[in-house]
Parts: sequence; structure tokens; C-alpha cells
Amino acid sequence: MLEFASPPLIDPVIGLTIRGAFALLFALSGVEKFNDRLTFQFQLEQYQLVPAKLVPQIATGIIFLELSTAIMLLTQLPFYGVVSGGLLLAVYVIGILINLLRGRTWMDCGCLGSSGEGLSYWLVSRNLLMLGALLFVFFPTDDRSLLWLDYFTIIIAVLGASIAYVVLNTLLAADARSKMWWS
Amino acid sequence: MQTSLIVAVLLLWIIVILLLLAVFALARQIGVLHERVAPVGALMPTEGPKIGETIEAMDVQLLDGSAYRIGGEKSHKTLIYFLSPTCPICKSLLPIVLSIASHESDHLKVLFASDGDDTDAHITYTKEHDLADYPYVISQPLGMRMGVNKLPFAVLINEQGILRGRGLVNTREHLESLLQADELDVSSLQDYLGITESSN
Repeated sequence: MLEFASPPLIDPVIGLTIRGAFALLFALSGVEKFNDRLTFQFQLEQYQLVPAKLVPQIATGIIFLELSTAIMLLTQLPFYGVVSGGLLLAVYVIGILINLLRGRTWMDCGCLGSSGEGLSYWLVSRNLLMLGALLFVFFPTDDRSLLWLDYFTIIIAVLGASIAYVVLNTLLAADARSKMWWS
Repeated sequence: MQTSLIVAVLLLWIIVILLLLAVFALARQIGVLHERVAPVGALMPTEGPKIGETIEAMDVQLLDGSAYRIGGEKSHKTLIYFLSPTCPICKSLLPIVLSIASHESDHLKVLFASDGDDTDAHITYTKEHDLADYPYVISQPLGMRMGVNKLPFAVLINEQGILRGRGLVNTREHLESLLQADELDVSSLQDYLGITESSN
């Protein structure tokens, strides 16, 4: 008789940190896109993946999905949050890859806080890494009770992850600028 | 023992955050350094029309619906500034382009050019950045004809419809280099530096 090993339990601090970081990411991204809907529609149109007529509706759908993902990750529905967040990240990776293969590296990725970093395989790697981290939430968590130090760790780790995200964006923008001049 | 561990964890977290902030500051500095070491003049791509070439008159439709002729004989020079509403560097250069447009208005007219199907995004962009009073054209053929491969890009055409300068522009110096190259009668500032170096 075959016996399947049960999946490893992860500490709740790890699960909550990942959920918190992605909820912050999708919330800020959704709010940024909502505040500048026309620019986001233009960015989406530049991807040349959907008919131009449907761009406004799809843009609204993405904003709605990002904001609802953030809410689901913070509430008692993390499973659905991970599914919709994972789908969003996977779609972004495919969209970026298609345009990289088309040679449209100059276009703005439309990601949160993008500042002219263009499209690159670094961006694809970043999104795949983020997708991998998000899927960690699927693992069952240990049900130990949390102390104040755990909550402190979660908050600081989310802050650290946010700074790391901004650092990566800044380095990618510098890299894109350097390539623009010297290649 | 437990207190020591708590203190150690707190201290380590503070150090991690401080180090991340330091990495962020260094990453920003790398970006600044890349800007500083950029070429002195506008970077001219090898493809596309050559300096000194006559630009055949091309009729385009402006964003407000009126007709506009690019190239051909005119009473003024034309500076075409290629941009995209999603390009942050294009946006940061806009005040400089507008300042050139107002200071050189007696002999130079600025035309803004872009591409894309979403006209509303361009209209909003012109309103947000005070470009409504300037001619603004959405034309992919124009960009292809001028050999625009990266943005922001600028093209200078003189009164006789002759291409006097074109290139990728990232700073005020790059934009001014196009006008100076025209005044010095060289194709680019890099060309000028090459001439002066070889004559020394």
C-alpha cells in the first residue's frame, strides 16, 4: 500500500509574512493603477495582447482583481487570494515574455513603482521568484500561538521585502538606462 | 537566556533594515552615475535618415484634427520631440522642451509626436502637461521614417526641410546639442569633438 508523505508544516510567521507582503504589493499596485487609469490602459495597450476595444474593460478587471487579491490575502480567504494573485503574476510573466520575444524591451512594464526599467528577463525572474514565494502559502501551517515578537517579525519582514522590491526596481531602471546608451 | 535572544533578534532586524536602506541608497547612486557617464550629446542611431538629407513633405493629422505638414520649405526650424505618455524620462524632459519652445519661438517651432491607438490617453497627457497649445501628432509612420528606436527622441529640421540633427535625448544638454550642432554646422557634437581633436 502506497503511503504519501504529508506536506511539511511551515511556521505561521512565514505564511503571514508572505501574505502581508503580497497584500501590500497588490493593494499599492491596484491603487496606483486606479489613480492613473488612463496611463495603465495605455501601458496595457502597448503589450498588444488584447484587442484595443477591450483594453478599458480588461484594465478595470485587473485593478479589481489586484485589490480583491489584497483583501482576500488579509482575510480568512488566503487560498483564493493565492490563486488569484498567482494567476495575475503568471499572466504578467507571459505578457512580458511575449513582448521580450517580440523585441519590445523599451516599453513600460506597468508594474508597481516602475520608473523606466523597460522589459527584461530580470523582470521575468523576479516575477517567477515572487510567484514561488506566494505558492508557499498553500503549505499547511503549524498552529502554534503567536507572541508579540512574531508580530514584530512579520511587520519588519514585510517592510524589508518592500525595500528589497524597490531596490530591485531601482537597479533594473539603472541597467535599462545604461543599456539604452551603451548598446 | 530568553531576554538575550529577544534582544538579539530585535537588534538583528534593525541591522537588516539599515543594511537594506544602505543598499537602496547605493542602488540610487548607481542610477545617478549611469546618468553622469552618458554621452555629452544626443545619441544618433545608425539607421534612419542621414544628417543633411532633405525630408520630403509629409502631411499628418494633429490631435485636434487639423492638418500639419512636416518637412518642405518653412519660415522656421522644426524640432520634433518623440515621446510616450508612459515614458518617465520623456515627462521629465518636457519642461526643458517647453522652455526651448518659448525662448526660440522666433525661429523654431516644436512638434510633439507619439504613437498608439488610445487617443484619450494622449489628450489627457497634453492637458496635464500644458501641451494643448502645441501641435501634437500621433503617427507611427513618422517615427519609422525618422528612425526612432528609443524614447525620448528629437529631430531638428531646418527652414529648407533639411534634417539637421536627430538622436536619443535624455538631458537638457542632449537637446541643446542638437541645436548647437546645427549652429556649428556639424552632424553631431561627437563629430565636432572629432574634428577639433584631429585638427590639434
